[in-house]
Order: sequence, then C-alpha cells, then structure tokens
Amino acid sequence: MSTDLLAVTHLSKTFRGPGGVAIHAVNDVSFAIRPGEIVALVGESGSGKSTIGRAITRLIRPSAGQVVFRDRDIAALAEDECRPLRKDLQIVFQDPWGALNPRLRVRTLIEEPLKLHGTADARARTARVEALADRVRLSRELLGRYPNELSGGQLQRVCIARAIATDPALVVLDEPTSSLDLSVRAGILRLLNTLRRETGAAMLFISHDLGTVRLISDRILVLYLGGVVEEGATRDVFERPQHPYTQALLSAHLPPDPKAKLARHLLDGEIPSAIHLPPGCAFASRCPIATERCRHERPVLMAAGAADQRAACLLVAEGKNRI
Amino acid sequence: MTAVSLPDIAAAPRFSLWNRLKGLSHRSATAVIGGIIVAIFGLLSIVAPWIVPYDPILPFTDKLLAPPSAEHWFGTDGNGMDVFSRVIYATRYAFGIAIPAVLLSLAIGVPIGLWTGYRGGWADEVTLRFSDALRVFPLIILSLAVVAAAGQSLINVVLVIGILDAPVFVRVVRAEVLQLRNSTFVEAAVATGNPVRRILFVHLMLNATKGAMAQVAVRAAWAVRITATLAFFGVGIEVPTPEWGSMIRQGAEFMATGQWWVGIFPGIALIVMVLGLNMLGDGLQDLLDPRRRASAR
Amino acid sequence: MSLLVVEDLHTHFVSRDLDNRVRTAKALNSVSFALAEGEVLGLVGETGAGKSLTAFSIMGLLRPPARIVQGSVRFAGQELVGLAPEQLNAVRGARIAMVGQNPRGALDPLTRVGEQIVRVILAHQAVSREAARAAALEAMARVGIPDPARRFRSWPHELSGGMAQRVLIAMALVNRPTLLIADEPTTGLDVTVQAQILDLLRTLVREMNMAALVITHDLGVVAHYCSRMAVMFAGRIIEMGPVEAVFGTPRHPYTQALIAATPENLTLDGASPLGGRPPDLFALPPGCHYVDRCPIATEACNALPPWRSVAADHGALCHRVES
Repeated sequence: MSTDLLAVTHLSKTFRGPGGVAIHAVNDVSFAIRPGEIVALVGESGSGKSTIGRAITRLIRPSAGQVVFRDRDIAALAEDECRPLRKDLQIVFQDPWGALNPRLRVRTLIEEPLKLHGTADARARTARVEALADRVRLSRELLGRYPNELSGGQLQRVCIARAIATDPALVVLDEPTSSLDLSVRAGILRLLNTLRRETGAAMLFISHDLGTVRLISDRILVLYLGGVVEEGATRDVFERPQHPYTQALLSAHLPPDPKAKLARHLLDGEIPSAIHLPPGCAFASRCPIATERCRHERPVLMAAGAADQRAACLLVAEGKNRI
Repeated sequence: MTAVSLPDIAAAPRFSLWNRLKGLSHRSATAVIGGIIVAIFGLLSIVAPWIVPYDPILPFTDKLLAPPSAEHWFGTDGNGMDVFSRVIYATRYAFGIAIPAVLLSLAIGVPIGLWTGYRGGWADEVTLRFSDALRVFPLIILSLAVVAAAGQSLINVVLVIGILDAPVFVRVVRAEVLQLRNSTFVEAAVATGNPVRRILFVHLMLNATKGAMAQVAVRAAWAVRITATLAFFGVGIEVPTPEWGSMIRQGAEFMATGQWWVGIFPGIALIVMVLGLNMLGDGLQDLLDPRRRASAR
Repeated sequence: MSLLVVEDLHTHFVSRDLDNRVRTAKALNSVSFALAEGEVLGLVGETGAGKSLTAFSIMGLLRPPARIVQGSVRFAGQELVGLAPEQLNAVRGARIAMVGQNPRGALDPLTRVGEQIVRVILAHQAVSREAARAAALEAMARVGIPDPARRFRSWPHELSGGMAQRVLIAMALVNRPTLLIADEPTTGLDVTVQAQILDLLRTLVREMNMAALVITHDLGVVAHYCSRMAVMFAGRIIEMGPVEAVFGTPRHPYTQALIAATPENLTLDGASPLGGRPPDLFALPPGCHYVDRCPIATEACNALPPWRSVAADHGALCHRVES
C-alpha cells in the first residue's frame, strides 16, 4: 500500500495524425498525487496537459505506462471495468457551455452521477441535488432551468456540483476558469478552495494561467512538449524556478500592476512539433543557454533548488541553469 | 455631431398566434406557407366525412363521366363516383400512409444512425455501404417490385415505404452524431459513468435528431408521391379506394377523350400537397439549421 | 490635436424575435473618448462589455442587426459615421488598420500569405506589383518572420498561431496607418508567444509613431503596454485615466472589483465572491448599470451617474466619486 492516491508512471500517449503520422502528445510522464492535495499541471498549448488529464480519467487510453488509482492500474482496464471507478474519479472541463447536455435540465444533470452510481431512492437524490446546489452556491431556482438559461459562471458551478456529487477522491479540473471572466473566475476559485477544505478531495488543476495556479495549488508540474520539465512546491517553483523554460514562462507573465518590474527573458519561436521530437532536451531549440550536449542528451528530472523540487535540465548539475 | 435616426419602434405586442406566425414568416416564409397548406389538408382529412357531399365510393350509374356542375363540383368519374368527394377523402389515405411510413423510417433509422455514428468502425462502414447500395436502385422500381411481390395491401405499402426510406434518417442522424461524438458533453457523459446505451438514447438522441426532424416533412412528401405512383401503376391500392394516384391513372385514360376533370383535380391536389410538405420541410431545415439560414440570405 | 474622437456613440442590436416583437439590445451606450497621435489606449472589460463592438463601430464593420443609432466617430477631422462604403474603404486598411483575434481565421486559406499582403498594398497604393512584393517582403522581415522569401510562399495553414499573427500585423502596417486597432491581439496565443507579439507591436507603434487602441480583457497587458486605459461595463466607459492612476487608485467600484479579482490580488478566503450576471442589455437599468452589483450603491444611483473627474485626465462615471 502506498500513500499516494494516484501514481502515474512512464505515461505516454501517441495519437495517429492525418496520414498516419505519430503525434507524441505525452512522453514518459511520472508523478503522484496524495489525498487532499491540489497539484497543478502547467504548460502552454501542445504541452500535453489536457491529454494527461484525459488519460488519468480514462477518457483516452494511454499508449504506455501505468495510472495507478487506489492501487489499481486503470490504464489497462476496459471501459466497462472503468465505469464503477468513475464515482471516485471525476473531471470538470474548460468549456462549461459545451460540457452540459443542452437538452437536460440542471437538476437532471446534477442528479445523473447519483443515479448512475447507486443512489436508488429518488427522494434522497432530490435532497442531495439541492444540497449540492447549496454547496456550490447555485440558487435552487436554477435547478429547473436549461443550461442555455445560465451564465458561464453558473454553468461551471453546475459542472462542479456534478463532479463532486459522488464524493470523488480526485477531481481533474481541466482549465476550469480559463473561459470565464475575471469576476466570475474569482468566485469559482474561492469555491474550489472551500470545497477542497470541506470534501477533502484531491485535485489536479490543469491550467496555462500562472496567476491562478500560484493562488490555488500546493504543488506544481511544469510541462513542455509532453514532458515534465520541473516539479516542486508551488511557492518554491515561483520563487526559484530552476528549469530555463520555467524561468522564461514566469518572466513572460504580466502582473496587473504597471509598477511591477518585468524581468523579461524573451524566448524565440514557438513550441516545436510533437511529430518529430528532438533527440535531446525538448526545450533546446528555444533555450537561450542550451549547449551542444543539450541537443543530444535527454535530461531527466533531478533535484534542484528547494527540497522536493526537481528539474529536467542538464545544466542544473553544473549550476549553470540561470538564464 | 451626427445622429442617425432610429425608426420608431412600436411597443412590444403581446403574444398571439398571429404574431407568432408573423414572426416565423419573418424567418422562413416558406415554412409558414407550407405549414398552412399541410394544416388545411390535415383538417380536410379529419372533417372529410362531414363535408363531402357524397359517399366517395357511391357510383351514380346514371351519371358516368358527368362534367363539373353545381351538383358535382369536380364532375364524376368513369364509375359515376363524385370526384370532389373522392379528392377530399383521399387526404385520409395520403396521411394514413405517409405518417406511419415516416414513423417506421424514424424507428428504424434513428437508432441505427445513433449507433453507427457513435461507434464508427466496421458497423458504420457496413451500414453506410448498405444504404449507399440501396440508393443506387431507383426506389420507385424497388418499391413497385417489393409491393408486387409481397402482396397488394395498405400495410405492405406502409412497410415498404417505411423500410426503404429508413437509410435517409440513418444518414442524417449519423452525420449529426459524427459532429457531436467528440463534443465535451458526450465526453462528460462518459466521464460521469454513463453506459453506451444511455449515451446513445439520452445524450445523443436529444441532440442529434434535429436534422431528422427537419427531414420528416420532406420524407412525408416523398411517401405521398410514392403512394400515388404505386397506385398509378396499379400496385398497392385497389381501384374503388379514393386515392389520388389511382384516380390520376383513371383520369389519364379519359384525358384523350376530353373528360379532363377526372384526372386534373386529383392531380392538382397531389401537387399542392407534395409542394406544401416540401415547403414545410425546406423551411424547417432553414429554421433548425442557422448556417443554412445564413447562407440562404 | 486628437487623431480619433469618438463621441456619444450608441450601437444597438435591433432584431425581431419569434413573436415578431422588436427587441433592442443596447450594446453601446454613449461611448466617448479621444485618442491623441502616438498614444496607446487600452480598452478593458469583460465579455459583452462592448469592447470589440466599439472597434467594429469605429471601423464601420457592423453587420445587421447591429447598427450605430447615434453618435460620431471623427478620424483626423473626418466624420466616419454614415460614410459611404467606398469612402470608408479608403480609410480602413490604409489609415486605420486592425489586428484581430483568431489570426488564422482572418487569413484567406486559399491564397499564399505573401500574395495576401501584396493585395492589401495594391488596394491602397498606386505601385507596381514588383514594388508591392518588395514592400511585402520588407514588412514580413520587419515583423520578425524568419526567412521572409520562403514564408512569402507559405499557405496560411502552414503557419503557427504566432506566425499568423505576425503576418496579420505585417498586413496591417504595410500601408503605414496612423491608427492601429488591436482587438485581443494575443488572446489565443501562448504566454511566451504573447510576450513576443506584444513587444513587437509596441516597437512598431513607437517606430511608426502610430496611435493604438488595444482591446483586451487582460489587465496585465493594459498595465504594461498602454499609457492610458478605459474600463467598459455594459456598453459604457465607466472609468478612464492614465494606467498608473487607474491601477493605483481605481475610482469606480467596478474597476476596484475587477482589479481585486485578478489572481495576483485575489485572496481565496475573501468574503462573498463578487460575481453576478452582467446586466441584461435588453433591459438596462435607467441609472448606473452597475447598481445591482455595487457594494456602495445608494438611492441616487438609480439616476444616470455623471462623469466625475478626479484629475485632469482621470475620471469615473459614478455618483459616489468625489470630484
């Protein structure tokens, strides 16, 4: 028995693109989530963060590796065998407008997981749906409405209510606030923070927004081109980023304060194609301090910076990883 | 500074059927006109027994082929039956065949379309090929052959039309499912733990049948036409039954000898009915598919 | 002397519903601002506040059911509202250029990118094809497209999002406009690419001495790339002033709430989330549009608030602000 709720080891996912080319969306990713913890998965588009979220919730089948949830490898299970597990493993999507069946009432949508996972008594379900609505601060009057009558923030609350309906042990949040306006986003983040305290559910928070991640997560994994380049406690990573990519990413962030000094390390170019992976470090093509060795030798995560902080950079060993 | 004047906007009127019709005709006049035509025919078929002047299969043996007159508005046919009464009564057969036939097509086509669209793979391939193969045959010939072989009866006509037309619904539903199956709400339904059955018949069916619904009126028009065609060839519906196709057939014989009324009136009724259904269907497609509406403008 | 003067601009959506009733969405309600030569004004607000619609109204790009019902847009002394399409065409694309969001969607997928730039030049300048081609290549080099001669012959689908945005910027600038309208220029782009594009835009605006109207929902972008900012809410500018002043001492309660809702300033344990729905544009309150959500609203706020200046160039549309 391990203390980890979820342990991902050597996870890879390759998609078949047009013309049969292999797109390496996720390459050999390993990490673990402990009960009640909020882990953030940060990366730009094409970094594979959503693919990881879907592989963990078995919406897609990993090409290789293990996803051990509560000591059971769900990567190998058939869909029918997964279904009972979904009670404990839920996901909230980025686009609340698209994630809810437009033809079902809010009440039915929140009730669905209860119906599917064993609450037989209809009256108990109704009471539970109302309790869930209260819990996510959704007015009970809205339960009888259809999704198109609700605002984005209200819809995301419905999605969250649905996800926590069966008291899952882990909720994957795939960019849950990215498509919402600032003022609505604040309410959702506060709600998630409250729920984490009240339910004790662990969360995997997938986002490209550094400000949000810094606010809500305990630990952070930085992804680049389908691989983890840095991991550590959120505060450590933000204060002392070790990997050159993390340093550049943090410096590109614009705080909403004109007086804040920007230490900008501009990167050239964009994330390379996931079809032809570079032989060495995935970041070498854009890294301002890459050496010849970086282009040929693939780095692995190694201790860097604070305790529990690790970075996949060859230059860490020599202490030359500052850009 | 310039001001562009805004035209006076009347205070919002209350809801009324008239306003709803005006509003709808603003978006699709075709649908409203077609709907009105179909509604009139529908009404006629319901009240037919009370409004027709004569029993539609009662022969006036002393008045064979009488021209239109005050007594017989549309004249009488070769058997001395009142053409007007028969034309009105025939709406009952038109609807009586078209409605169950389309329902049968839906009952067959929608589940197959849902399943093949969602599953993809070999099931999809096989169904698609099969429905393509069916399309290659002229459906009229096929239905003639099948009804002739299965035996002349109303039920057989309904079955043949219903089954042969099902691929249309398979195709439209499948096309919609293909667009929806990667949408987030379907993914969310899987993540919630829905079994495939429930994904198909709850989540997808509620959202993927718009195109099929828009097709219903068009397919009903097709059913009316095919019924008439079968009857024209003497297949399906027997002679004394008041049905437009068989009446047109009889009328065609008398056309050359100058008794035009026997065939013209059922012909006009058939054309107007098919036109009305097609307009309704076309308009519904416009209303239900905003992209089509935008491109039509 | 102001280059662009927008005065009392009202843009409404007038349409009929299923019951043939006329419905008017008052999307812009008396928007007024001026933009001096060489100035960069940021227009911020949340979804539906009317930011993009302001740009479209200025550019004369409204399509029914949207129309300007009142107001004036003067560009270099010339009135643009009510101008015939041919006369407008002489202005837009030449003296006013626009860079939009969704750069890939803005390019014609069936024409090589270089050719598209050439067409924009030929539409507004009496030059030979060869000269236009040379100018296009120069513009491509100037916006940092590597190997312009090769990229000239690229198809739009071969470009990444960042590269497509560079092509659009090149296209916007080839006719040397005096005003650039950038409508969410970096919204779909990754953080590291966003930094590149924003820096490029800033450099070009300075070099060519253009005025720019930057429309964004990202307060970080405004804080670091604009000199002045205007905050929009429900079709009105509710606060306007120099960036330092607005961020330093925001006057309008909505601006205060907006800045407090950014992840950098948000506290998760804070009191009630400030969410709430944006007002219904079909039924706006007669007075202050923010009255329903405002924590300090009084009886007086049911009347139209006056513009209260707190400094020469800083003011807010609020009863509670002291002049």
